[in-house]
Amino acid sequence: VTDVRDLLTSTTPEPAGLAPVDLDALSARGRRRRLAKRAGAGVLSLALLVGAATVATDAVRGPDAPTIGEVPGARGWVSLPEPPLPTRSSPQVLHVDDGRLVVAGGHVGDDPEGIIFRTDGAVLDADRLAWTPLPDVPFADGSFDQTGRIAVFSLHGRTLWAHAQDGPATAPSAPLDLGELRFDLARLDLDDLDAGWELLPPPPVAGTLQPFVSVVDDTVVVLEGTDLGSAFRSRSGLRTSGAVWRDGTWTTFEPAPLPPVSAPFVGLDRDHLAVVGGHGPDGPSADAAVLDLATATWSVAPDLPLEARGWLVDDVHTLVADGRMLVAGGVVRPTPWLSDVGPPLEELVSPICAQSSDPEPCEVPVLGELPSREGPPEIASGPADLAAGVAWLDLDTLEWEVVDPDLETIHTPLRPDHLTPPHSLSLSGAELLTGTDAEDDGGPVRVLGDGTIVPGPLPDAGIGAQSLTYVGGTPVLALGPGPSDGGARVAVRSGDGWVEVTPLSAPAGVTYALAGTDLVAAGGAPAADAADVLEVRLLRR
Amino acid sequence: MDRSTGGHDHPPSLGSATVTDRDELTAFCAAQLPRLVGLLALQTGDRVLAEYLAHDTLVVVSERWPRIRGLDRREAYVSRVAVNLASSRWRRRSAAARAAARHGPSSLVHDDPDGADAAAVRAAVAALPDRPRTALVLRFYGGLSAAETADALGCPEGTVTSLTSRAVAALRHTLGVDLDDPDGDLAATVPDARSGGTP
Repeated sequence: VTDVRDLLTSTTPEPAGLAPVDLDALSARGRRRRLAKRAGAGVLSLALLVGAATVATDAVRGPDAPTIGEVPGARGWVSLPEPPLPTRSSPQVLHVDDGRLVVAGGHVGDDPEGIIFRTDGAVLDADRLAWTPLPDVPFADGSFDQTGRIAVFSLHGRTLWAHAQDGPATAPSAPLDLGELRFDLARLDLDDLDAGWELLPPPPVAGTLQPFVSVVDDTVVVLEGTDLGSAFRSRSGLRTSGAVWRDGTWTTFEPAPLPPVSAPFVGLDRDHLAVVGGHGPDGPSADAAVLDLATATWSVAPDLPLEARGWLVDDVHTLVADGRMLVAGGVVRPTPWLSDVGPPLEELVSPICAQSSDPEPCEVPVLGELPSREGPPEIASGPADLAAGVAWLDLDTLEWEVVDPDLETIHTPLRPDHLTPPHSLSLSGAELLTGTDAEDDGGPVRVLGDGTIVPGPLPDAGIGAQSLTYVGGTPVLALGPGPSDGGARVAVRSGDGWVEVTPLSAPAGVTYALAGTDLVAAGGAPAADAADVLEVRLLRR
Repeated sequence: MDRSTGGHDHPPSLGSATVTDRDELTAFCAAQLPRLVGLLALQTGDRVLAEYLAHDTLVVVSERWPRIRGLDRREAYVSRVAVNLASSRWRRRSAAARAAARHGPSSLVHDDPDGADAAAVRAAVAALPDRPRTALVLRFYGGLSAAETADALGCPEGTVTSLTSRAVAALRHTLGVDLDDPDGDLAATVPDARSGGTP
């Protein structure tokens, strides 16, 4: 019989060799934490950024999309019919321009085998308010394993795209045979569901892990991923070489003529792929280059006219609108705690597991065993240094326009929050608005562009704003659950104040999306003792 | 940024602390850090996040030091702060997972240098529901008494016993090992386990 205390302490011993405690650093961290709270620095995933960017782009383009359902006078959430799908957290919610709503993907996060990512979905008919299951996507549900066998959906016009990478199952600590990786990319015409999914020819990115996929209209760009041993689980290997799918064929392109970096800003529109910044061996980069997708040729752009910066993860797909790419936020000096900020590609690739055919056992690095980085002094503890300033890069003229060199971008810098992009990025009309979120003591929400500073909505401690979107020009804050472990809370700006609508039943894992002028909330991890359902709710305004 | 409207950069709360205060606080934080990292690694299943949260906990400790230093059981208070911070972040985990869906498995699954057994135990603990996991970690790793754990969870002591028993039973099942449940044994031998704090 094993004593449970012995089991826990022997398998998770108190670590030795931690950095000495520095009270001044703690005080500074406390200041940053308060600052971050003022910014409502909750977790906002990149998926939300992409969603926000999509919304913002739509706002610029000004589509007058139909809305779903008719709920005259409703001031609270309206439940839509439950989709014919298993329950899940964080489903992707996509609004079709004819008013239909697609709910697909997401994950089940409390499975003892790990997080299982769903690949199924359904589409809601806006008139009949009836769901139709999507045809089976040609890849299966996957666990949250090292291959990244995750289905990611995106909607472009009325074509639904999905991609996922798969490979042979291996032990989590074992290197992966990169040569056996398969990368699937498929599309579905939502106007012809009976035709099913069309599986595209495999993109020429074989032998790399977790490539970066971006779609604009009928153009697909795939950036090669890392060829590191997968057990490293690093995202620092994203490359700027890859392939473009156009007119039914793949065309490869060479890496950008820039020193290799990790975690650059990446932007894509119909004609261009742009790469800005990133972290190199000498520190953050201000380099920029734009790829002409028609000719597969790179042009080097002037340096970013702001402090050099990158992200803390690779493949951050930032906003591109009207032929201009936005650079906002990012970090100027990452913390060494983050392995995936670490050395750029060339320092890591060659010695470790790069060749799947290597008969010798792979040596897989682990945290703490990374080669040391050169460059500016690293922060021994505490958050990364965050970058200030907002600028646009014109992808045709390669000219920069600095919007506000002093605007402080605030986001929570460390894992897992380091995935957080700048909060509350949105566009209203053609005007850039960046807003930070709410402070937990009712402090200001900063909205740049129209100069508005509005107070935060809720005084409760412990509530972090998760996202701020604009519905018809009105800020809508999605908040975390309250201290009482209730459901996720949502507040809508109204006049000079905020109106909080009825909390959702799920405390977390809710996806928020815009459907026309309506706010849609879908999915979520059920609260304790709550029924296990896949709710889709509508806040009609 | 317009500091006149948005800035509230209070001076560090240690500004008025004496040199002796600082020395005592530094010593206390240094002693707590490894314990907190271990506790939070077990609570969150994420060693890197644990270190981050441990520092966050020490930030709270430094800001509330005048109050904390007078407590009889500072460690219990600090443990409670730590799991509360972890719980807050835990609720946001699904958002991180969604980001990971875009980025690949970087934030929730880490290389575990401690070997398969340790990883299996942490995974089994991480798979527990929130409250049983918190009760288990505070009671049997953090060294809190049943009364202190109950106080941290805002529940009766009897509920703590129930939660830890559920957690131990789940670990037995998941790990396939015969685990001793101190609280369970206590409950079986002491008719009214709620009547006083168990050590």
